[in-house]
Amino acid sequence: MKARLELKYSPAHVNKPILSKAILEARIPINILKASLTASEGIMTIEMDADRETIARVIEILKSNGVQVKEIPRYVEINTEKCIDCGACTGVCPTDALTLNSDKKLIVNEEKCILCGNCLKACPRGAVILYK
Amino acid sequence: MSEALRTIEQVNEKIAKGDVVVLTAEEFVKIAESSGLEKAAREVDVVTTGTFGAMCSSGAFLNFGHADPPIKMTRAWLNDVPVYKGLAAVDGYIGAAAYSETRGIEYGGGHVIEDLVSGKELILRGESYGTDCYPRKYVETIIRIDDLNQAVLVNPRNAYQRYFGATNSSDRTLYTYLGTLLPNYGNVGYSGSGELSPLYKDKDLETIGIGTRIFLGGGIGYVIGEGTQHYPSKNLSTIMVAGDLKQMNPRFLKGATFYKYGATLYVGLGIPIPLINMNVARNAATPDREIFTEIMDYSVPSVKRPVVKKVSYEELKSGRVEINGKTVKAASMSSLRMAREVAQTLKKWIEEGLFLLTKPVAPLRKDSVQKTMPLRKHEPKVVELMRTQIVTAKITDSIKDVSTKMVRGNADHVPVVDENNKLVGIVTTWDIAKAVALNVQKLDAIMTRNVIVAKPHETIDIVANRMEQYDITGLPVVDDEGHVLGLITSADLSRLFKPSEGGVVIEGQA
Repeated sequence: MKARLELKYSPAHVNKPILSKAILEARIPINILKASLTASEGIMTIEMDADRETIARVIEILKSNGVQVKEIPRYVEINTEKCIDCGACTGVCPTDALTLNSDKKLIVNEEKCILCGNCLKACPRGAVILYK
Repeated sequence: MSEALRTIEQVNEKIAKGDVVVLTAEEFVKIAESSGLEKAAREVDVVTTGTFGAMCSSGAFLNFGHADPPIKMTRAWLNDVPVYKGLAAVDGYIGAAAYSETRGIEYGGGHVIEDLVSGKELILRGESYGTDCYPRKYVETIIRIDDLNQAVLVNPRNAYQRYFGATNSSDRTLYTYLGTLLPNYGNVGYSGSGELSPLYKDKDLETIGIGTRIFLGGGIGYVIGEGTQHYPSKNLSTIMVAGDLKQMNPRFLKGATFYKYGATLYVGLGIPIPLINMNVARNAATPDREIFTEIMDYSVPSVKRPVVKKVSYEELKSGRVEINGKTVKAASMSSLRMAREVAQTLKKWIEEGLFLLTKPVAPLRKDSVQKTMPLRKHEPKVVELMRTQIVTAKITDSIKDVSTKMVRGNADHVPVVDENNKLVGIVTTWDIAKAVALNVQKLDAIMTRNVIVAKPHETIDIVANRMEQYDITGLPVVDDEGHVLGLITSADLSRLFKPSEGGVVIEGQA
């Protein structure tokens, strides 16, 4: 199964190779989707494809090293009551998570979403819900 | 005159009998291609069109009824969105682009109209100076559309025959009414339904005129005149339309907000085109691949934006457009799916005998042109304020050379030029401080190469905006070939606002 986690590093942990440690110990590849570092904290979104046990192991390693871990159950959702299928979001989606099908209806492919947030600003109807 | 096929009276007789043949414009394009235009034109009586786009020039006249004691409202708000009150006591106009005084552009006139049509309750506030006949000075109440005497959608400009595409050559993201435009030609935004576009399908305006009955906002509406900025010779016709808001449907009127641009209203609008002659049929059969528009560079702050590419609606609708050898995404701001629904709904109404066609009372003008605003008051230009006695540096200069020049010339910004005085970079006092701190010796290593510049004939407010956008305080002024002519800084601009020191005051900005 695929899992996405949002990690919060406090300044005390920013300099430590915690993620590398998790990769080495759990022995799985981890993809960094997004990372930002400010003076007060570091926030990172990571993704991995592994069995339930391994994912739990990664979470445990991260937590025991002082990283706050939040599981991201869903990535992006469209409020179909509000959406008018214009497709404005599709032009700024870097991964084709949002596309129009042949009937010009908006289709969401959550697996592809990297939570960049471009669609939030692009949607004139406020129909995008991002689970960050 | 093109070969006559049928009259509107004959079409209406067929509608009454229930044997009228109606196709949507998309269906008609296909039939005309498969069985030939001649045959299709003889078999099909009416072609329905549709569009569903953001149309800022929309709004509604409302009559609120008199309160007791009455008030001559001189200012009024619906859900904190200002209503135009330069009319009689309780008449007002809510414009789609007006925006909430408490929530900003997130909620605007377009949303108010959607909420009204949805039957929601809205807060009405009104103010007045009080008169003998209208003693009340303030009113606040809750209203619904049913409470209003009249609610009439009157849109000065709708159904643009086509619209321009937009792209962005600059290095920053732009937020426009054609959506988010990514830097370096990163994508294209466009609008319009192409081969479903009402005014493209009757581009010679042979059947659409004043009085034409149309599908408007899910109800019945009428063309009441040429739209503002109507420009038929450029395939930029528009129409002014009106219809009773009370019989419209919120599915086809949607409030919207374009990020950092403003509030607007999506309007579903469709026009039936009776195929009265072969020329009308030929126009109605025009496919997306023969409907062209221009993609413009929206990073250029001028109404004369450079055309980057001419493109067909077929290419735009594919979702991919090639720009400068790179394939980028093209996204529509208008909804093609909803435009199709408009055309299908109108088709159904006609087939079921619920909608009769009309002959125009008067034609729309074909010779209207869109003029630009004359600017007859002097606007200060860069060339009038820039300093020409400036310090420049060569790329081979050392940090020490440059810092000496800065001190002598009392300069914060030093353009770096080549042997022909062409701009290659810029250094500021801050860059020099950084170079000293990092112990860098060469100018080359610290200068900014991607320089934000000003042109001599740009107006001051454009340049002031640019400084704000990029958070910088000085711009080299260059000619079209990149030769440095001078420098303009925020200090130069601030002189404008000090008349005592001999500057010019810009009205309304001081």
